[in-house]
Amino acid sequence: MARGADIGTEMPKALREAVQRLMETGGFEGTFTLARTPGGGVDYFLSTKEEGAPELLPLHPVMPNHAGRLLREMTLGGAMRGKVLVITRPCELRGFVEIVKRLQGCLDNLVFLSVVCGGVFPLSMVSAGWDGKRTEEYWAYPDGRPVQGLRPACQGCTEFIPYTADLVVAPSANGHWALTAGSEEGGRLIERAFPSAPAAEMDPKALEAMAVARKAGREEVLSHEADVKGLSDLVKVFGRCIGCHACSKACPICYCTLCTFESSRMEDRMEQSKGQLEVKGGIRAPAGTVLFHIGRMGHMAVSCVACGCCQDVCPVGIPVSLLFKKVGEAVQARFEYVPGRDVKEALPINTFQPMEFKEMGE
Amino acid sequence: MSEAPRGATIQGEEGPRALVPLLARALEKGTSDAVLLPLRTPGQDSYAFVLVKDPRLLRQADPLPPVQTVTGGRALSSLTRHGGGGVRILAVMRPCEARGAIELSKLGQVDLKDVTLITMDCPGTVPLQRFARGDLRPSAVGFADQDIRPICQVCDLSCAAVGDLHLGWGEGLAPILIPMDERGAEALLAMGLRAESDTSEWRTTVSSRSQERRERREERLGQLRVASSGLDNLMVRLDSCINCHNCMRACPICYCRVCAFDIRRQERSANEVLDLAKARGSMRLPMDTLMFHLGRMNHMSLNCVSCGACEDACPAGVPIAQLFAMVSDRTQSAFKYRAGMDRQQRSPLITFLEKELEGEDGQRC
Repeated sequence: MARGADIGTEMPKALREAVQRLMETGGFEGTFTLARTPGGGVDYFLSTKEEGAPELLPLHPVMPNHAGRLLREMTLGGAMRGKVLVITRPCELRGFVEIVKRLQGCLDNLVFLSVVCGGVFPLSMVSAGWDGKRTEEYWAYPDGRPVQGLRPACQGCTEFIPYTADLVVAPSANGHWALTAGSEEGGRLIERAFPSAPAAEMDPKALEAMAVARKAGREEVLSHEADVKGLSDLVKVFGRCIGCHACSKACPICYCTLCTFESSRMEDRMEQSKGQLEVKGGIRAPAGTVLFHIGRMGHMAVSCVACGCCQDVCPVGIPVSLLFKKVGEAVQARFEYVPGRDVKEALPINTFQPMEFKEMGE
Repeated sequence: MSEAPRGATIQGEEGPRALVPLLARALEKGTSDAVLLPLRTPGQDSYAFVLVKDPRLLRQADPLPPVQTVTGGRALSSLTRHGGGGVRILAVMRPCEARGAIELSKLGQVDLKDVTLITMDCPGTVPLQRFARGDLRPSAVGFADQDIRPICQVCDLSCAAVGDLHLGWGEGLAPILIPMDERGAEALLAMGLRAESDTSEWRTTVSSRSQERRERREERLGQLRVASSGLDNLMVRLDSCINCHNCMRACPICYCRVCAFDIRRQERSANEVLDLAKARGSMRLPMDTLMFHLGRMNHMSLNCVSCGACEDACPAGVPIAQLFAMVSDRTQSAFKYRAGMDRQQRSPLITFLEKELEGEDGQRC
């Protein structure tokens, strides 16, 4: 494990201070991080000056927007000119890497600080008002005890260690936290920012405790709401969908400006509807509810990072992130693919292997 | 209407469910090809609009569900946007939904040619998200209900008889079906009913309901206007917005396939964002949240029917329907327009009058 610096025990204050030092010594043009909004909420900001900056809340345990989505919108037209420190959770980083593979964003000049992730709380909790004490209690998660009230996707997340971050905030021994390096660049940044801090590294015991808890959490969350079998179950679970497509708009992978399922060719024509009306006796309007979800699944399940943003924005509480996680895991396992693990790893859907899925026939 | 309309008193079930056997009769008689109305979903946990041909499906029907899922205007638009194809539809929905459908027809997104709109007095709906969570899931809503959405609480057009046929009911009123035009009269006849009853009791009830709501609307939206006046206060009202644009996608009026503001957010380069952040010290991301809301308001406030679908769909708890109601009340009155109330009156945005913004009392805007 690469060298890291001990940043103490007092989270989230210690993290804020560490970020401050990185900003001062790292030669960054700006920092992309969660921060306090004028109305007391939390959102992402690109902050360039200390003076007049909003209160920075790096890795605050909510995900108002998927950072990968925001970075995509920003870098779609090309790389960032100067070096920017980007502070995001592992699933956000992985989501962005997936979208870069689709040539919809650019990693150049972005230095990533991520975390051995404890998960985040539902978005609805922010609009209901945030209790500051919750944040402090939250950061005790490396002890492996489940944090109450996390989003279901986070409760069952086993990919809580970032793959490609330059800097990783990680639990260290004796309740301490360490800022560890995930790349050479990260190592240099730590040396510059913390020349005299005691060395520290990731505590494998804490990671193990978290892994055990998450595996149990995963079994738990996938066994209830996501226990959907066959078309009739799908019709039931998506029956209350209002067709707003918020899930796809919040998704870091769904990048199409015009989704196929919103295009003209998917719209009903009365000539066809008449036939269906004869056969089925009735047609739902708008039609194609289950088709949309299955179709979206077909398009993005292989890259689904199970970030949970889809479920966070669903106005009718469909367990959409769990269903997509379940299918995503199955598809990804078939291709031995971990979305966002490595930007050089090719996407299964545009990689042709003559022998794949032999059992499906010639 | 110069002469007070007469109506047909319905026997049987109290309230809007009394409509169901009548709709079945109209279907069986063949005077209509299909009925569009809310049915309980297969999981029995919500409602969806279904175009029904087989009367047996009407067993799952609830003409006036306690919650608004997809608005009727949107449902009708999904079916008839590319033309109604000559299918004669009886479309059952709330007044605000029918008003949405009427606005959409003016915008060329709904074909009302063969549609008979059936509306009914509406007591309001409960918030969609509370309904979905299950913590507020009544089987029906009554006129005295306190749990209805804030936007319903200030709805002065909840009993607007904008349909061809309108059902008056509630608060001791025997359900009465009132034809508002020729098409409504034909539909009534197909149901085997005659408009022989006096409607004065219904009219009195509606007028007192509406008066009360109008006063409350003035008061509450007035308070909101004070609380959100000026850019800073408006920003506070919109603070929790995550810029997901779900308000727009739930809106019956926002019909554009690709919204101008969805394209706009991809147009800024990384360096442009960085320069802006440097000039200001920091930039909130996503950008242009305020611009989106103001832009959308500009595009649709003249057609806004205050149906509240935007607020129901908002994952961040922004009182967006109330903000839009607050603005659209003023923009619509400046043009002497009330969205969805008059099918003949052209939409102000496509009507040019040289002096349209100069009233007797000077400038209107």
